Amino acid sequence: MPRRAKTETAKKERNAKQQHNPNFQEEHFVAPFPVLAFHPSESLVALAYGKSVRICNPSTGSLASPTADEDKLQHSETIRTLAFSENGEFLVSAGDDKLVKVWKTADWKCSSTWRSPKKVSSIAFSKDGKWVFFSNKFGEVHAGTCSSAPPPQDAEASSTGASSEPPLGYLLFGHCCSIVTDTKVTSDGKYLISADRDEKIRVSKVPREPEKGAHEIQSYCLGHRSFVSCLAIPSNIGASRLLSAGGDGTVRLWCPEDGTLLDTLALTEGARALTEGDAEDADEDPACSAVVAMATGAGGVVAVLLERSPDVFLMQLESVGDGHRLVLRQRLRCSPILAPCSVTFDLQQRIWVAGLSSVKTAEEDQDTGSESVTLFVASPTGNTGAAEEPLYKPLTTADLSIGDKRVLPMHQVAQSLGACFGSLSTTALELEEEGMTVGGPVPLMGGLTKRKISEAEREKNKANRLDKRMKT
Amino acid sequence: MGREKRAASAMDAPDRDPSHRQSDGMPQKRFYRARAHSNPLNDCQFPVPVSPVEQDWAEHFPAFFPSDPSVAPLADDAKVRMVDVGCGFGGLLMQLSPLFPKDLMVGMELRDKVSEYVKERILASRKNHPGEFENVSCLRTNAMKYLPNYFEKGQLTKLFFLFPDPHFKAANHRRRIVTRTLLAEYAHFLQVGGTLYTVTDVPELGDWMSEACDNHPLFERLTQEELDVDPCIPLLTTATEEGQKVARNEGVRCMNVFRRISPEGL
Repeated sequence: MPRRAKTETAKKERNAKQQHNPNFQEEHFVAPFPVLAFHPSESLVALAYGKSVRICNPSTGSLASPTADEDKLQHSETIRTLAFSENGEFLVSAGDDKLVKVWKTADWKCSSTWRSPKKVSSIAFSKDGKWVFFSNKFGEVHAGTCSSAPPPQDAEASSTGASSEPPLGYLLFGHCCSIVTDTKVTSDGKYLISADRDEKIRVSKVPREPEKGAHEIQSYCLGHRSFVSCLAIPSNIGASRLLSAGGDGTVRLWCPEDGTLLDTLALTEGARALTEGDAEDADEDPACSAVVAMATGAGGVVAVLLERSPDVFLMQLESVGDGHRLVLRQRLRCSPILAPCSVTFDLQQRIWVAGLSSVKTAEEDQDTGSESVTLFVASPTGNTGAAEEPLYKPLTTADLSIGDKRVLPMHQVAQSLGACFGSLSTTALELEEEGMTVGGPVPLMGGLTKRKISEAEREKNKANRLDKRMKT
Repeated sequence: MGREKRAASAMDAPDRDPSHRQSDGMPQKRFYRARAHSNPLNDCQFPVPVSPVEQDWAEHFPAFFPSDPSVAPLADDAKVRMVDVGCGFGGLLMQLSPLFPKDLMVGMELRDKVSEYVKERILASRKNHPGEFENVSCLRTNAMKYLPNYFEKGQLTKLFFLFPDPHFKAANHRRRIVTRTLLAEYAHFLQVGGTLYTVTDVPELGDWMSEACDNHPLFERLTQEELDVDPCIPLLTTATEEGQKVARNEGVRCMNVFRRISPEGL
C-alpha cells in the first residue's frame, strides 16, 4: 500500500475512534453550566450561567449584576467558577475566556482583572482576602491581587504601547501537564490545596509573597483511583481537615498537614443502601458516577452531587473518638432539576442546588428540547442527632424565610433568579444554532476521564515487539 | 517500512540466541532499541501505585526485603535514596551501585523497551556477580507526573538528570524535565542537603536548567571544592551511553549541581 494511502486511512480511523470514544466529547468543554456562590456573611447569592453573572438578595428579591467600565472587559465566554472572598469584600468570576475578574461586592464594580494563559478551571481566595489564586487547564496556578493596584509589568507594557490586555497572574506552581480541577485554601489560611486530573491532591504552603511563587509543598494526598473533581473545607470541626471527591465516586477525608487519609465513603455503595427501601428509585444506579460538586455546611453536613443523578446526597461528619468519620444520611431529589451542576449552603444552612431542567410547553407539558437554569432549595429539618431522621426537606410554596420583615417566599426567589436566565436560555439557543450542544448530562467530567487499557490488552499490543517476540 | 525490515534482519540473524541474550546472560541492546524520544505529556497506560505505601519495593530489591523471615536483609529499613530520572540503558546505575551498597537506587525510564532492557541487565548482573547490584532497579514510569506516587517527603538524597531530552521548540519547553514548577516537586522529595545533578551536552538546555535552579529559592549551587570531593561527579560524564558518545565526539558538557536548602521565611 502506498504510504500516503496508509496515512490517510490511519487518519480516518483515528477520527472514527475519537467519535466513538465516549471520553472525547467536545461539548463537555463547551456547554455552559450554572455556577452558584453564597456570600459568607450577607444574604446574597450569585449565579453564573454562560457569560453572565446575577446576584440576588433572597430577603428582598433585589437583583444586581456586576458591571465592567469597558465593554470589552466583560466575560466573552462561559464562566466556569465563582467565589466570594472570606471577608465578603470581593466576588471573583472566571472561565473559558481566560479572564479573572474581581468584583467589589459593595458596588459591583470591577476591582481588578487578571489574565490566565489558559482557560481557568477554579479560583480560591487567600485567607486575608488580598490575593486570588486561579488554576488553569494546563495545570498552573497563578496569583493576582484583588485590589486595583496595577502590577509593575503592566505599567511597562502600557508605556511601550504593547497591549492594553490585563496582566498575567504571578505563577505560583504547576501540576505537571494535568488539568487542575479545584483549588481551596484551608480554614487556617496556611495551605493552598489543588486537585488534578491525575488523582493527585497537592498541599502547598501559601507563600508570604505570592508574586515570587509558592515553592514549598507540604504534602500530597493520594488515594483517589480516578480524577479528583472537587475539594471542600469542613468548617468548625476543630483540626484542619480536607474533603475531596472525584471520578471514583468516593468522598475522602484528609489531614492536609501530612496527607493522611482519615476516612473514605464510597457513595455508590451508600447510595444503593439508601435506595433499597425506595422501590421507584431502585432502577437508577449511580454506580461509578463521578462527583460533580460538593459543599460543606455547619454541623459537618456535606452535600454532594453525582453525575447522571438528579439527587443531592447528604452526609455528615460524625465525631468518633478523637477523629471524624463520614456517614451518608440522606438522598434528596432536586426536582425538577435533571442535571444538578452546582451546590452551596446559605447563611441559614439551606442547601441551594443549581442545575438544568428541560423546558416544558405550557399546554401539553411536553419537553421542548431546550433547557433552562433552575434552582432548588432545601431547608434543614432541625434533626441532627437521630440517624434515621431526614436532615433536610425541600422548600415548598408554603415555606417562608423567617426572622426578616421583608421576606419573600424562597421558591419565588429561586424562580426569579432562575428567570434572569430565562433570557439566557436564548444564549443557550444561540449557542445551539452555532452548532454547540447545550446542557447535556453533566459538564466537565467527560474530559477528565482517561481511556483505560487492560493488562491483557496492553500485553497484546506488546506481543509483536521484538524483545517480547524473542523471549517466547 | 525501514523499521520493519531492520527488525526482520535482527530476527533472522544467524547468531541469534532464542533467549535474546549474550553468553553471559546480558541482554542484547539491539533487541531493545526504541525511539529516542517519548512524549511525557501523554496519559500513561502503565500501572502506577496509588500512593507510596502501595509500591512493592520487595519485588525490585529482594535482598533488602527478603520474603523468607529467616534471611537477614542486607540493610535494615532500606529506602530508595537515589533516583536517576530518565536512566536510559542504565549505565549510571550500574556504576553507582558499588559506590553506595547500602542505599537503594532506581532508574526511571518512560520508554517501555528501554526499561525492560535495564531490568534484564540488572538481573543478569546480579546472577553474574552474586551479592552485587542488589541495590539497583528500574521502573517504567513518568517521573514528571508520578514522583509523589513512589516517594515520601524528603526521602531522596540524590537526583540525577543526565542528558535529558532538550525539547528545543518553545511550545515544547514545558516538556523539559527541569523547570521551575517541577523543581518545587524535586525539592519536596529531596531531603535538606540532598543533591540534584544536571548534565547536558546542549548549551541551550544547560543554560535553561542552571537558570531554573539558580532562581529557585530551595536550591543552591555547589562550590568547586564540593564538586571535587563528590564521588558521583566523575561518573556523570563517563558512565552513561550518552556521556560516552559526547566524549567521543568531543562535545560540550554543561554540568550543574545543586544542593537542596531550607531557607527561612518563604
